[in-house]
Amino acid sequence: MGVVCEPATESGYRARPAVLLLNAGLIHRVGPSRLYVRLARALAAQGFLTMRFDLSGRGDSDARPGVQSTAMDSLADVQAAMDLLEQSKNVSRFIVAGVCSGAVAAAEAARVDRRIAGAVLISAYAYPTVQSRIRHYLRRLGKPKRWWNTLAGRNELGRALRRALFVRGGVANEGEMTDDTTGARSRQAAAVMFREMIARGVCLFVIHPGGDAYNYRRQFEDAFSDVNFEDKLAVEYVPQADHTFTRLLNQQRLQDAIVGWARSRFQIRVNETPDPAPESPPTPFGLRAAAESSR
Amino acid sequence: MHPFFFGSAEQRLFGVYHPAASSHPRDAGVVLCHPFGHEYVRVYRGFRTLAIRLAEAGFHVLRFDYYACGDSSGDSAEGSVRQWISDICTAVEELRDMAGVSKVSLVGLRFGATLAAFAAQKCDDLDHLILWDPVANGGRFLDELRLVQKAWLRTKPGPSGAAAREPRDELIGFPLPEQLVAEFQTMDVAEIREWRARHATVLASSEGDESTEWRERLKTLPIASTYRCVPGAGDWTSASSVHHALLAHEMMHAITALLGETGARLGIHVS
Repeated sequence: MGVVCEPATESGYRARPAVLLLNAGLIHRVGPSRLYVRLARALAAQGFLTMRFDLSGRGDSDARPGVQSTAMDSLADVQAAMDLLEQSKNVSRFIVAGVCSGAVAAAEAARVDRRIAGAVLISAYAYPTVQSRIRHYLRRLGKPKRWWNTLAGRNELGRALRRALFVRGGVANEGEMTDDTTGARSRQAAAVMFREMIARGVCLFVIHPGGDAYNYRRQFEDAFSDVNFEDKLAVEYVPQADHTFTRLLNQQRLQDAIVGWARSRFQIRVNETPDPAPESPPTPFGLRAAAESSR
Repeated sequence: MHPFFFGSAEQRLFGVYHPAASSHPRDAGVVLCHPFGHEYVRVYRGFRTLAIRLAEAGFHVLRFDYYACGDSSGDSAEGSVRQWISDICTAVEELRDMAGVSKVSLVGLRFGATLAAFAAQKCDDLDHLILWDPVANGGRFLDELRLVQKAWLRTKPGPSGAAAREPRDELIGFPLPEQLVAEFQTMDVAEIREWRARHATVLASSEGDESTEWRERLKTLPIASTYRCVPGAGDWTSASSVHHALLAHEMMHAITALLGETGARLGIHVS
């Protein structure tokens, strides 16, 4: 089940990619703290047709029959959503975006489906680097009580620090990921995936909140120093934000960043007048979706 | 399951209508009233499950998002208690129109239960008012959630300092403008003078001071009333549960059974 947020006028939106917002974990299509609703409306106000919908087994959508993996189900769902908008709205290019597991579903779809021109990956793909480990341990060592046990290697921190000192180069151990609740790939496999996406021309916008898993601005570029992103990568780091951007100021910052990225990447002129908020009544969309205006 | 928008053109409400299972439809409908803020996000899927179970039991069910909440129109900062109470009455009328039912019950959770109790003063001919972990006092509710927010924020990144840690104009991801705070503070179920439903039931997920208060309060109501404790669901004041989905199967079962029993007692028979 999904909700389509349409720009007020049809002029131009078919020339731009439509945006699909994918569930953050088990949270239904409105997103964490209703973040996807405000984001969908902000993007529609800038001329991007946007659809937030529930992947199988989440929100208002039934689980898919059979025993496919969640990843396969999610890919099939994203492709079904693109099919629907292609047929009913005549759009042919898409941006996929999501928080946490939604980012992973977005990346996996962008890897294989040629209709996807952009991917916004929020709070996922955080891999440790030498610098992130040092920052992490220094932060924790700010508490003097921990020094003795740490230096003696008697606690987990001390043992981890010793392990970290044996990491070579700028990249963490292959296969290791600090934020593995998303079902994302190992770093090595993710690097392969990103290379495939870049080769196909997909523009990537990676957004990381603060916390232990990601703790400095260039961590993503350092973790993937072996991937040539050409000019297709943008990274935003919001150190004050939590995993789901709960605080309102962080929600606003996220919204501004994504709208700005979409406008700049997909050639919306700065002086172009945004579509005004429409007054048209809602119309049924598809078999199991409802449509709304951009506000 | 039929998703749709209803209400005025300026304030469109998102709803999902679950028609009764055709094999045994009742002349009875149920409107589900969501809780407020992050609790709404926690329980969304659970409410869907409840709606499906009630529809299978023969009820026509409408669940919906209040104005400025969920998929309904309006920015989150535009939320208003008065508007939400009015939205419940709009939803009741919408369900009567759609399903052609004469009898409608309300099921509300947490602050949604409070809204339902207030809305019941304005809606005509309500059958059953089921209040699941109802909030008795809006001001106390905000204080309670602010404590949850404070504890939760301690575990999150961000600048230190009391001001940064305790935002007054937001509550666990949702705006809390002054006008909304003022409205919450006027909400006290002790002020309800007219309980117009035929029957009221309080379902508590745990025993405590608040549930004791409710038990005493129910004794004073001018309508038939019931109190039941269904342990298991809830955990509303734990910072670690802020983002945990709540399915509450035991409570869903209790509500479905309760409405079925009441329907029989009121002469609502399976046709």
